[in-house]
Amino acid sequence: MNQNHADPPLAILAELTHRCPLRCPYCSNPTALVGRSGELSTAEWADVFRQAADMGALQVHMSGGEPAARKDLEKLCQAAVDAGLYINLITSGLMIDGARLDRLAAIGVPHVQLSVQGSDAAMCDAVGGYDGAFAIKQDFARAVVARGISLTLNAVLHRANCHQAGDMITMARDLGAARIEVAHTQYYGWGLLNRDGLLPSRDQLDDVTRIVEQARKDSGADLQIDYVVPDYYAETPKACMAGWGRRFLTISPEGKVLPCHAAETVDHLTFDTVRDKTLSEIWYDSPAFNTYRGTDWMPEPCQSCDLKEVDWGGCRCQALALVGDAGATDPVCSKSGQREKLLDALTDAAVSPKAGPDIWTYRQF
Amino acid sequence: MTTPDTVYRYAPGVMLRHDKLRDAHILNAPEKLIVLDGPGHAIASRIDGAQTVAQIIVALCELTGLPDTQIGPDVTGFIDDLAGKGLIRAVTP
Repeated sequence: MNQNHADPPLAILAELTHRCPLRCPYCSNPTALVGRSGELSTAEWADVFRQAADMGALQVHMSGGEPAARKDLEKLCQAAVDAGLYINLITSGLMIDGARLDRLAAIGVPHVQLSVQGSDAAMCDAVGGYDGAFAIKQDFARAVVARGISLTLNAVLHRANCHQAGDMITMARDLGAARIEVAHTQYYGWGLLNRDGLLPSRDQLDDVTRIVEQARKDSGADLQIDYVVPDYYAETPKACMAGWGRRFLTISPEGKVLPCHAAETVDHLTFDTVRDKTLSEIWYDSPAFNTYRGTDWMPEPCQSCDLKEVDWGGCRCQALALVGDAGATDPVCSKSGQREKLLDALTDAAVSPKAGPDIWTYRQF
Repeated sequence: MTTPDTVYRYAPGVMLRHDKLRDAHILNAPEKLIVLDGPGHAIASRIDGAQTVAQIIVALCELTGLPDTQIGPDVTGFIDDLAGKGLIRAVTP
């Protein structure tokens, strides 16, 4: 593939920092975390936002780690607004007090996505490894809605908390959220490390699906419910990132430009940083973006599959993690011939349904 | 439920903007981007917390020269879709 096949990015994920007060065992950050001293400066991020907007990006997801762990979050949001980007602020809610939220509202942050780890303090605090997190998050959610900022709750589900899915949806409604993402853990980074203590059983998954479907009928348009299943139970792979290098890019705290937040696991690729090259050069011309862009790279059975421009071959990181080859068909696909790699994990989930702090490796530097 | 007298406004976090690069009107919303076509923008730009659905239909009829028997269902369908996605909300009279 060459640059003629690439459209401009629609949105960028800015991982401002890996620092975070929470220690969730399914964190999507890489297991090798970047410390504060390696992070891009305020001016470097501002330049990235201008470059992204000039290329055609319309939205920025301010994420991390906890983006508010950066003392300059307000300056970064102002820079993104000045560049013309729509901001989705993705946060734990633990480091933004009322005064800080006032400043973010005044800057024009239109949307906040707040993570929730459970429907009660016992679950929420245990999963995040932070005593008192639940109460702070509740207050933060109300403060967001009170300022006229759109609120999404991001409820991450796994074996230990998926029985609380219905209560988390009720909580979203009570807090005045416009959206909730009921999202099963994805198995990358820390989530993959802890997979055998997180993956729900088939019965658990089916229960959550029933709850979500009923809640959608009950809520109507007042609460939008997005539902993300663990793709281990699917027959066809997810269109990961809507295709490698097609719509989205991620920038790591140290400025590496990635096709997705887990792409650094694909260690035969070299990822350029915004300190060395422009965003445009990296997006259109770098081998890292072009290697799996489009469909030319695809092996069989993808190459002759009618769905190749629907799922784009699934997820490169998952193919590498489970099959050992980032250029293989995603083993989720029933045509991949490699589904046994998933079935082993599913069998383990069914026969050893342990979960909880005793068996999780919490995220740490 | 949309009636001719319903007045809609955008939900918090939903913003209409023009994208110069793509020469397209965009609805920016939480974790969502909708690229509007010409008629879509003509409707979306009239959702302002003041105009009723009936008034928007009249405006679209004038704009296109088409009768409201043809325009009405299209406008109502488009508005119902935005409402169903939670992007617009009825203003309580």
